[in-house]
Amino acid sequence: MRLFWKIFAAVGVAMAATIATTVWVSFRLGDRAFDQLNFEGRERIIDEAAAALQTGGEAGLERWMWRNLRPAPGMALLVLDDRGNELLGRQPPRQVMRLLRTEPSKESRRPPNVRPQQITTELVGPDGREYRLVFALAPVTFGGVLTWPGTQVAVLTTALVAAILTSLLLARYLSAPIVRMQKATRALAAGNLDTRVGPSVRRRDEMGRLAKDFDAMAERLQMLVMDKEALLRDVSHEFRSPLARISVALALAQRQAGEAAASDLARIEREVERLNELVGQVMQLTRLRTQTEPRRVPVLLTSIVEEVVADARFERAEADIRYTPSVVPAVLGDPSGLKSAIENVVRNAVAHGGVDKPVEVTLTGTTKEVRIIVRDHGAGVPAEDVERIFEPFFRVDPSRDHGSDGQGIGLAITARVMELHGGTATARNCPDGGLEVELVVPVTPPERPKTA
Amino acid sequence: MSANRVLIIDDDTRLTEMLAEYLAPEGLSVTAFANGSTGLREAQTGEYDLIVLDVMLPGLSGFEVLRQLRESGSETPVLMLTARGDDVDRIVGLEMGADDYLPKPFNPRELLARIKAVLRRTAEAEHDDVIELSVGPLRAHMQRREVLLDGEPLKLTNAEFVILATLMRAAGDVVSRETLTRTALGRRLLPDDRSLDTHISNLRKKLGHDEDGEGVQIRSVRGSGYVLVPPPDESER
Repeated sequence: MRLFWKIFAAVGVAMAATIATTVWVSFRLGDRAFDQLNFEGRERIIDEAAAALQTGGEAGLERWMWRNLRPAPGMALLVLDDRGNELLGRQPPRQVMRLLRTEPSKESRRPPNVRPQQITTELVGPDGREYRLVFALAPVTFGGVLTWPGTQVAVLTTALVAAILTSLLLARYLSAPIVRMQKATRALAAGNLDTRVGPSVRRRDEMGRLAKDFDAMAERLQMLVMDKEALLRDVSHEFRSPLARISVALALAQRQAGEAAASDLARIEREVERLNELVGQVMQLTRLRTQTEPRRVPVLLTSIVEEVVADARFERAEADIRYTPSVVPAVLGDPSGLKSAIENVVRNAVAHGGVDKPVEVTLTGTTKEVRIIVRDHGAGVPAEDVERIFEPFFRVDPSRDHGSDGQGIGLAITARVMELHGGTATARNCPDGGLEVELVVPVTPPERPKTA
Repeated sequence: MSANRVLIIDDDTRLTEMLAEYLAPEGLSVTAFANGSTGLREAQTGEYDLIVLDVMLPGLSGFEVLRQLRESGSETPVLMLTARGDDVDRIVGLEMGADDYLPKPFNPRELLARIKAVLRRTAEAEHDDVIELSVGPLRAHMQRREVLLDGEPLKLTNAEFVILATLMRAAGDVVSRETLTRTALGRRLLPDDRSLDTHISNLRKKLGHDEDGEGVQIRSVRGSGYVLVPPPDESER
C-alpha cells in the first residue's frame, strides 16, 4: 500500500476514534444526569426540606440547605423563591432556568431524559409563599470525572492509550526506515561499498521503493569501483609473467652484448625494476583494500622507523635524513604493513624534498598513540590538493611531474595501512615551506563495528 | 667440480627455459617442472641441491608442495618465489621451512645470488668444525643439525638452525642484521629485506619467547641487531 494511504488511514482512524469516544462519553454523561436526578433518598431530602420550611420558615430552610449543599455525589441542591432568586444567592445553571421556563408545547425540544418535574419540587412555606427545590448537576470537572466509579474512566484511559499508541506506531513506522537508510548512506559514504538496506526495509510502499533504489545505486557504485580495482589488479597480475620473462631475457642479452649496449640495457633494467615495483605496490594496495583487519602482533615502531631511516640512507647516500627518536610503547599491528606505510612517507619526502634539503623524521608517543612525523623542505603541495596526495596515482602537477615514478601509489598504501590500524595519515604544508606528513597509530586497536 | 643440480617448479615454461639458459654458465644444472604434483615427486628423489619453488602453481600449490616435501623428511634447501606485494606468502613460506624467498618478478641476478647463497651456506654447515654449542637450556649439535631445548628437540628449518647457531656462538653479544644475513642466509642485507626478521620471529615462537623474560630470549637491539640472552638465573650460577 502506498505510504500516502497509510498515513491517511492512520490519522483518519485515530481522529475517528477520538471523535467516537468523545460522543460516547457525552451520551454517557446524559445518562448519568438522568441517573443522578433519580437518585435514592430523593424523596427523603424533599421531606426534610419541607419539614425544615414548615418548622423554621425560610430561615430554617436556609439553615437546612447549608447542611445539605451536596445531597448526593455530583449533585447540587438549589431553592428558588417565587421571584426566581436562589435562597443562598447562587446563580442556578442556565439549563435549569431554561427548563423551568419551558412551555409545555415546546416539551418535545427538551433533552429526552430530563423533565422539570424530575428536577424540581414545589414547596409551600407556612406563610404560603412558594419555593422550588431544584436538583442540579454539580459542575463537571476533570478531577470529578476521574473520581466517578465505572466505565467513564476506563473509556478515557483507553482513548488516551489508543491515541498515544497509534501516534507512536505511526511515528516509528515512518522514522525507522529513514533512520536505517540514513545509517546505510553514511556507511556507503564511508567506503563500505557492500552496504545494503534491502533486508531491513522490506515494504511495498514509497519507503520500500526508496530502499530498493538505494540498493541498486549501491550495487552500481560497488560494481564501478570494483571494476576499476579488479582491472588494476588483473592488469598488474597479468604483467607479472611477461615482466619476469623480460627480466631473464634482458639478463641473457646483457651477458651476450658488448660494451656498446651495456648502458642502454642497464637503463632497460632500471625501468623493468620500476615496473616490478609498481606492480608489487598495486598488488599490495588491492590486497590491503580487501582486508578489513590487519595482523595483530606487538610491533616496536622505534626499530621499524630506525630500519626505514637506515634503508633510506642506504638507497640514497646523499640524502640528509635527521631522525629524532624517542621511547614509545609497542603497538598491536602488522609489522610489514606498518613498515611499508612509514617507508613510503619517508621515500616520498626524500624524492620531493629537494636536493640538499634535510628530511626530518620525528617519533613521539604517549600511552595511547604513537606519532611519526616526516617533514621535508621541498616545494610542498598546493593547499587544495594536500589531502589528495593519499589517493592512488595522484600527482601534484601532471604537466611538471612526469619524471618521477613509483610514488603514485605509495602514500595510498600508507593511508590504507593507517586506516586498517585505526590510525590516521594527514598532510599539511608548513608555513615556512615544505610538506609535513603525520602518521598516528593507536596503541590499542579501536573497537570496530561488526558490520564492516 | 660437479655442477649443482637445481630443480625449478614453475608453470611458466618459457621463463624456466630462459632461466636454465641463464643459470647454466654459472655451474647450475636446471631441471624444470611446470606442475606441483610431478614437481613434488621429482623433489622427493633427493637428487637436487636446491629447489626453486613458485607459490602459484596449477594442481598442487607451492605451499602444499613445500609442506609435503618437508613432511616426507626432505631437507633440500628451498627458495620460494612469492607474489610481489604479498607479505603473507613470504611469512607463510618461511614458516613452512623455506630457506629464503624472492618476490616475483625478480631480477635474475638476484635469483642467482640467492641460489648461490643458499648453496654456500649448506656447504659451509657441512664443514663446520664446532661439534656442539650450549647456551643456558639450549644445546645445538652442528653435524646432526639438531637443537635441544631443556632436552627436547626443537623442530627448526635450515635457516632457523643456522641463525640460532650463529646467535649461540655469540651468546650475550649483539650480532648485527647485516652479519646475521650474511652468515645465516649467505647473502648481503638488502633494503626492504625482511627474511631475517621473519626467521627471528618464527624462532622466538619456537623458543617459547615471552615478554616476562623467562627462558632464552632473542632480543632486538637498537641499531638493528639481535642478541641471544640466556635466562638470568642461569648466568648468575
